[in-house]
Amino acid sequence: MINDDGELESDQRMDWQGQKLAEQLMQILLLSFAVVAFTTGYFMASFQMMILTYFGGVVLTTLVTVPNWPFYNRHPLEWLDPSEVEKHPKPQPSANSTSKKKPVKK
Amino acid sequence: MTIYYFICNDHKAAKDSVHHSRRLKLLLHRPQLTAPGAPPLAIHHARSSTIRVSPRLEVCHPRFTAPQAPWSSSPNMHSFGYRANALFTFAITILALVCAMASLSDSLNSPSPSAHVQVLNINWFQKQPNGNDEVSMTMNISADLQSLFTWNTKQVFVFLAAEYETPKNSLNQISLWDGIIPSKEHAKFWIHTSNKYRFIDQGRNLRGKEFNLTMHWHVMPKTGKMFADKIVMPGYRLPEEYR
Repeated sequence: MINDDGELESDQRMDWQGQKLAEQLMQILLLSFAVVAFTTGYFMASFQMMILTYFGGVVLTTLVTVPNWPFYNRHPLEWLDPSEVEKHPKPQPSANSTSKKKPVKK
Repeated sequence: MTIYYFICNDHKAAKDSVHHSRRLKLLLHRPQLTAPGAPPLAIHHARSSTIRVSPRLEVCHPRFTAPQAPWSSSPNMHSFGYRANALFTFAITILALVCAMASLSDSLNSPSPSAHVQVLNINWFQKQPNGNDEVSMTMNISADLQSLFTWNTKQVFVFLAAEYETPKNSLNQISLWDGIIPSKEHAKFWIHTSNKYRFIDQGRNLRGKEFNLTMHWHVMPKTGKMFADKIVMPGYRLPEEYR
């Protein structure tokens, strides 16, 4: 689906399951790199080693999580073709406006 | 196949919205978003554009943004910029946590410093024109402060103070010498020096005065709280007469 700006719709780049996976991966990776960095720095008695390890971990997490890798798009949503829109016109509201449910069953 | 229209309020506005909308997007039946028989969802999103057809009713256009998945705890992870921002923020928060842990690890360290000062010579001891006493002395200062250093220590600031009591003040502290110890290797030192800063009293109380030489230090960490401590060395005495 192309939106008005000519870009791919966001769902085409990363679907819902992918977003959840990306968020979980980011949190788990960052936390584990923090633990690794702290133990490395503590046992090497070097503050600089801790900071370098941690920022290496941040860079790695960025590479894994931020770009739109294909494995984030394994459950894409299916959107209807616009030509289908004309075949199923919008339901006209009935006289009583209390009814809020208007599904069109085929 | 069941098709749900996403409309915010009731359908009275649907007829009017046909004239205003450019393209409506329809979604195939997705059972996890709406239960059968439930009213259609109203999807509001921070970036969605709504067209007001009457003051009371709105029609939402989900075309501009996809609806939120109910299981996603973070509302926006679907764009490069959003993910980068979320990652950066979380990384900095975790960094703050790691630095706090590093600072707390300092409390595991139990330091055992030692210091000794020997006053070699009183160079002169005079009364100034404005009436205050002044002393100049040469000292041997030796100390071992290596146990103060941890992996989280940036430097140690150490200074030597003369402390004594006068009728006017219960405690006078005069800093005679100070120095910065940048690393553990320099923390065990021996120095032969005259007092770096002038030892001047407020008044004329120094003749025959007994005083303590106290070594103070401030441990400055790389992250966290700075803490200070001291060693008191009593038993020094100034001469009875001016020289």
